[in-house]
Amino acid sequence: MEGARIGVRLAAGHAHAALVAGGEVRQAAGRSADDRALSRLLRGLAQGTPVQSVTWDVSAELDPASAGSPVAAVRILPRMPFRGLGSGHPSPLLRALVGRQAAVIGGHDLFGVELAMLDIYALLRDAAEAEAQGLTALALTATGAPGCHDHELVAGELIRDALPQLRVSLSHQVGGLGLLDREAATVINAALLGRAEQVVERCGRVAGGLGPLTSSWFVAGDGGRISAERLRLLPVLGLSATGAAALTGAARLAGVDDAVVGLARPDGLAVGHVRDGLPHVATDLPGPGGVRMAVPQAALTPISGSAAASASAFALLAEHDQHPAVVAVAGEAAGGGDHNRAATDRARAVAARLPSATVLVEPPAELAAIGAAGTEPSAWLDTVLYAETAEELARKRAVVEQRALTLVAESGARLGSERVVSSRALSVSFLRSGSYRLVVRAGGRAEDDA
Amino acid sequence: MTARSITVADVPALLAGAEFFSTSAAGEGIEFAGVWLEDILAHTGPVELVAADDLDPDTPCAAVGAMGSTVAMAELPPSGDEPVVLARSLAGRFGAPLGAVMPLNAASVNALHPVAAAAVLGLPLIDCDGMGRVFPLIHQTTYELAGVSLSPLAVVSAGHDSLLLDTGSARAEQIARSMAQAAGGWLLCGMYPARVARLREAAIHGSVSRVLEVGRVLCEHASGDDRSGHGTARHERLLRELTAATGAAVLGGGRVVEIGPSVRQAGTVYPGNPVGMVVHDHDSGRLIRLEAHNELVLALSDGALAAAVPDLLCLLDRSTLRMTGPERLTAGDQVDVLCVPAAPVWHSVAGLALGGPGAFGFPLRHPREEGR
Repeated sequence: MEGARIGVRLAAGHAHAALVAGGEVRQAAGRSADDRALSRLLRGLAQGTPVQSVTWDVSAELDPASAGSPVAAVRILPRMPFRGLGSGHPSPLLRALVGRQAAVIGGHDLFGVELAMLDIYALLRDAAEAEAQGLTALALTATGAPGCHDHELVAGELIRDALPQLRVSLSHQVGGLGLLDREAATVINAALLGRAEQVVERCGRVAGGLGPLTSSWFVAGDGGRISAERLRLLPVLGLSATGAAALTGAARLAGVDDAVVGLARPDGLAVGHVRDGLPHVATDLPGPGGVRMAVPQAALTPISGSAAASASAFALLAEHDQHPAVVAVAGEAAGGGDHNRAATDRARAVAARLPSATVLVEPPAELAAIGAAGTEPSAWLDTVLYAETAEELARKRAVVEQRALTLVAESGARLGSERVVSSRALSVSFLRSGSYRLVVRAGGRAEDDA
Repeated sequence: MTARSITVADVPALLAGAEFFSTSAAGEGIEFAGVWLEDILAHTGPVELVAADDLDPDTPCAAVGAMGSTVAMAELPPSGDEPVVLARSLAGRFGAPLGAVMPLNAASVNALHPVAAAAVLGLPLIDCDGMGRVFPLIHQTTYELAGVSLSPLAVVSAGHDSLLLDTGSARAEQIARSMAQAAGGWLLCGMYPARVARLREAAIHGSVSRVLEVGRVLCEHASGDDRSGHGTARHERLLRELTAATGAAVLGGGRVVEIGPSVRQAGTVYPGNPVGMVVHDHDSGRLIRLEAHNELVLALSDGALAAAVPDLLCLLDRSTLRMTGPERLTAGDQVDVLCVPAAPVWHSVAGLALGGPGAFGFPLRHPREEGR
């Protein structure tokens, strides 16, 4: 067995791992409380096979409700909020994570025009007060940052110079359009910086124990994989990764790149789509604690109720989908325990309602762990641009696509394997003609691809 | 008295209803406004929703609504006191402060702005509007049809650039739209200053209540509170309830087979770019072509005109049971196409001239005109 990849999902003190090499899949599960136990589990899984990569799904380890620390949230706006109106967030999670809230003058419009000069004195005063309050991280969100992030970069530099102990998350690195959603993502990101540091170091240490050539990667919520450095800086990207990994695993085991996928769980079915080997994603879905973040995550529609009810609902969706249907048991290794038996029974009931071309996947290891092993580098960009002609739009679009391909390369893609998976230029309503929102997704094959 | 209150608890229904009446394009990505309005109402307390007839006919009032892009607004949210600037500007016209506000249009983000304005100003909100849907231009209103002057038009940006324009309706529209582009992509507007007595004939009454009613239907299904069925049954039940609440007809439903920029030339008076999409109706096999320009404006079924502005075209996403539109959709998604009849005044000769297919550059007669 050569070119083996391992995928691991860490959750609630347990590890669920899968080794994938060629057509062979092995599984292991056990406690993950200490490094030794985890290393032993992975070595036992490898059984001496050279392992090229370990890809971790750490979304449960990064649960912001339990692992997040309070942070300071600073908005950069052209005008201060009136009596603080509209500044709060209804989410209890966000309220718990925001230890201090402030706004300073500055910001750009969507096309990069400066709306107000950045008030650096107010910014440094707020940052100093945050540190004096005992906060160790600051989330900085400037209006218009997807169009021009100059104010965020300047503010970040100034704070790092003046207050080097204060960690800073910049919103343009975290999410896409929409100040409130992007701020929520940036707050959660900043709150997880400390925890992410520990998780990344631990995973790297354990993966390194399999040999000097074994690299360590992390599953992102969009179903791609990201480097340790990127997760350390942007832990929010590692949230909600389990569903995305399960979709990837289902498609891989079914041997298809495009599919409508039903993930069978004991209590219902979650339906998603895989396109070109990557889960279909959306940015307007509720994330942790129901908080919407302008960060892509796999779109999964839950269908609850009896096996028969979920079967008929999925059959309707699959009947009109141009891609093959895949039904997969999305629990731990198929056949183990009452929990999995219920999921397996549901998957079989659903598959029985569908045409014979439907693929039923009863994975030999946990589906998300298999999917984690199979993740590939990907990138996603969401921005607004203005183009008066089709030629100008094509030129500006090519620049954004090139940026996405560069991000894919930075996530360990093999040279030449980077590709644009989708690129949509959407007319923006009620702005001058020629205003487009550009959403680009890119992918690639990892260096360790067998 | 028919007065009642709009509270924080009503915001999800208001938001969902606002998406429904946004005719599928303009309502996309307005969830931020729900978070924003909830925070305002939590600070100010409920807003009183009243019928125009319940107010003194001499009460000075004005319509409130935003012009510009919701994407820009999501990126540059209001600072909160924009309505104070508008009210101050318009009070000069009456020589007295405003006594009530009403929506420009109770749809998309403009179903929420008047509630926020009423909350911040401490005024009642009149249960009416001037469109019953979204139109791209602020003078495409029943207020305009009834002869209420749009100007003086008070505008303010999120950066508090403000202006009071005293000119004709179309001219005010053009000048304000240029300013919106330069001021961050959107403006809050106070317009159609009038005495409440003028609203009797000029407004579409009960609009805000209708938005709340439809929104409650959508919220009930989205939250899964409706336990009457799953999958197909839930979807069909939602369609039944929506058609019952709005008088809508279902033009068809199925897979989106094509979506992208439209090849047709659009008039320069409108912002945005034309978009086209095609839905394959599962039951009949027909192809439903939808033309959008900011919002959905036209539906052709196998090439024949099936529905057109000013009637509302709305798309329901079958997998999420939420209203959707071209910005969210990709080929392969499954939707239902609904057509909601516009308020009767829009089907008059003057109404169709201002808001019918011809006003959007289509050389077509509205289906209601065929018999004339």
